[in-house]
Amino acid sequence: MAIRQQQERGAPVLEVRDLTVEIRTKRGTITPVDRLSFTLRGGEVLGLVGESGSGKSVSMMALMGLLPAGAARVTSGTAFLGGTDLLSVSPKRLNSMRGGVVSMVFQDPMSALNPVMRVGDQVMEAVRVHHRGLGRKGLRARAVELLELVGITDAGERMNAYPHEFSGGMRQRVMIAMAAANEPAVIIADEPTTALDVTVQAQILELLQDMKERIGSAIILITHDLGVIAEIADRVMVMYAGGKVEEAAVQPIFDAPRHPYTASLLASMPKLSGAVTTMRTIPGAPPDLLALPQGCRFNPRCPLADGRTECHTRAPELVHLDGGQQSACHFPAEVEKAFSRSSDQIEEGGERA
Amino acid sequence: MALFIAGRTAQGALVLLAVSVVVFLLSFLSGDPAALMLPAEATPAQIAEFRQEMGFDQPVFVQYWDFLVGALTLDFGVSYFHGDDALGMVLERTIPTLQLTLAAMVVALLIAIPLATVAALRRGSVIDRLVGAVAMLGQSLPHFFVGIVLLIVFTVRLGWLPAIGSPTARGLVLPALTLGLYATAETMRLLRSNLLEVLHEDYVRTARAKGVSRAGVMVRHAMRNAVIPVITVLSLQVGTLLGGAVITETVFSYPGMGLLAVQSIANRDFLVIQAFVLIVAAIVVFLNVVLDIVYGLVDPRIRFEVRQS
Ligand SMILES: Nc1ncnc2c1ncn2[C@@H]1O[C@H](COP(=O)(O)OP(=O)(O)OP(=O)(O)O)[C@@H](O)[C@H]1O
Ligand code: SF4
Ligand SMILES: [Mg+2]
Repeated sequence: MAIRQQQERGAPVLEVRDLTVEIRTKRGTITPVDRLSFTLRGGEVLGLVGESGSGKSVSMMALMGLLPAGAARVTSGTAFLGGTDLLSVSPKRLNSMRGGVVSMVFQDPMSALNPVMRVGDQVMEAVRVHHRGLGRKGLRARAVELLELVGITDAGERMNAYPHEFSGGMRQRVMIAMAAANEPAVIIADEPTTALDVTVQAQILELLQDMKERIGSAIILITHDLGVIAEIADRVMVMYAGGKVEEAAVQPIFDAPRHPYTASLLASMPKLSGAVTTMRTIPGAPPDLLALPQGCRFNPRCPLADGRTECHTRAPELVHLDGGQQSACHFPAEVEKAFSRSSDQIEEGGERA
Repeated sequence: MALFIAGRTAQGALVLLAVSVVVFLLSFLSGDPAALMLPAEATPAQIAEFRQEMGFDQPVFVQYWDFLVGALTLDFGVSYFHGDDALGMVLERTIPTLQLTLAAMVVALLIAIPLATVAALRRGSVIDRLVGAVAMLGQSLPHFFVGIVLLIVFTVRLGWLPAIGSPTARGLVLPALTLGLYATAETMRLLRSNLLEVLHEDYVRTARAKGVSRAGVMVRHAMRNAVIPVITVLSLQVGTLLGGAVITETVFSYPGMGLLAVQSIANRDFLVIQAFVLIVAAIVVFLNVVLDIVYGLVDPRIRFEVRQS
């Protein structure tokens, strides 16, 4: 059924280089995304994790050209998707790419659908914008097909319903139907299950994976749930205070994190496998973007930073380690040792926080 | 939906009943009609006879009952001044007034919707600020002033349009502009701020993410949501609009029921005034029910709630 055949697995589809976003706030200008670079490969699921405020949403909004107009702007960087730089194309061309080759699923399906427009019309719109020639009949048929694909029963009838007649899980299915409508090369899912009942979270994730297999999209999945990462991501990217601090395939990062922040995240995760594994807070608070610490941004919270001048004077660059793992820490080799020793301590800290 | 309409209609009937009490009491309290209507040299005996003939000697509630029965059977009595059927006189003038009000509404929407849209799309631009200024002026200038200024410019100076208003295309222009200015200003201001608010909604972001153009987002997503509160305000304004019509008709000598009312007040022709007030109340109530239904059509969530209850 896929119109565009599976993207060649493993070949880069989206290459982001030095993405930097500035936002003017009342207190001053912040840089919530600071020289972020990463590569998304065909057919993969790239997990994106990090504490609240680390810049996950802002970086993805920047790629989609959806930053709040006026206050926020991309100050540097490129993001090549199929030979076009998303960050510098004309607005018109960007419109034809959005929803076409790159689409997005948002966190809160309750507010993400237009309350006064029929569900079917909203799905049809997603198709129509990119297939101007299609008549109403064709559009409708395609929309019904999409709704069926995402598991909505009686799709033909449900086309006429309004969003408030749907449950949260069903609305998120509709969002996924719209995101998948034009078989995009990339789907960005920003915490697609956070707002949903625990019972439907798994179904929605399964659906996302299923759609990905069907249309061969690559997915960037933002989540706070490391259990989800372990289950469906191929690679993980960890953000801290606007920058990437670690990136690796899932297994290596869970086995041997090379950045103390990642190690803290994993340590704060309950060890019971199979149970709910929502990320808990790690000791200390994320930095104020208006008053970033000197040197490494993580140093006030880093158990390794004590007495090490590098940590307080020089910002660590991202280094490539063996196995494709990347870490922005001056002492990647010491992380494992330090955390096997202090993980109990950290877990206590996490409980208190 | 049928239940909803029935409920609103019953509510409207209650409102009208309340209005009838107020109208009656007001005219009852406004002085002895016999003394007002008879010539100054009438003898006490003549006055007493007149009072008896007209039923003014009856207890208040009997008089009210007569009035209510009369109103329900569409008999408001005969104008003291003209000798014609009071209701007939008002009804004859109702259509021109409704035409004027409708024209004012159309003018308001035709001007307000595009301007508010442009202002919201180009926030902070020259057009936006101009719209803001016009909205403020429109809301602060009284009808009689606007009417007179328009008369001076377009009739006295330019000679383009007639000084006397009438329910014809040419005769409606100035009165409709005069009456519509306030509604234009109010709609413009409200729609602009609603649009700006709605443009920050998640579903607008969703639409943008789907690849919908800015104009498409405005027309298909933002407008419909932004218009919902405007309908509420407009329905609250129907009364204001009819009140404005009275002034506007006086300024332009427009042959509507507002002008008739003003003349009848001057003549103390209070049966005509009673008929006028009740008809205006009926119109306001009716339009409110209609707007409520429109509201339900635009906002499916309301319809849903109604269906549930
Ligand atoms: N519209 C905005 N105006 C001002 N500051 C903003 C705006 N949007 C985001 N920020 C700031 O940018 C930073 C990054 O926010 P972002 O939403 O990307 O975080 P996040 O990683 O997605 O967090 P979460 O897990 O809570 O979704 C935060 O400090 C946030 O306060
Ligand atoms: S550079 Fe220093 S402070 Fe930063 S994470 Fe590594 S050890 Fe900790
Ligand atoms: Mg976010």
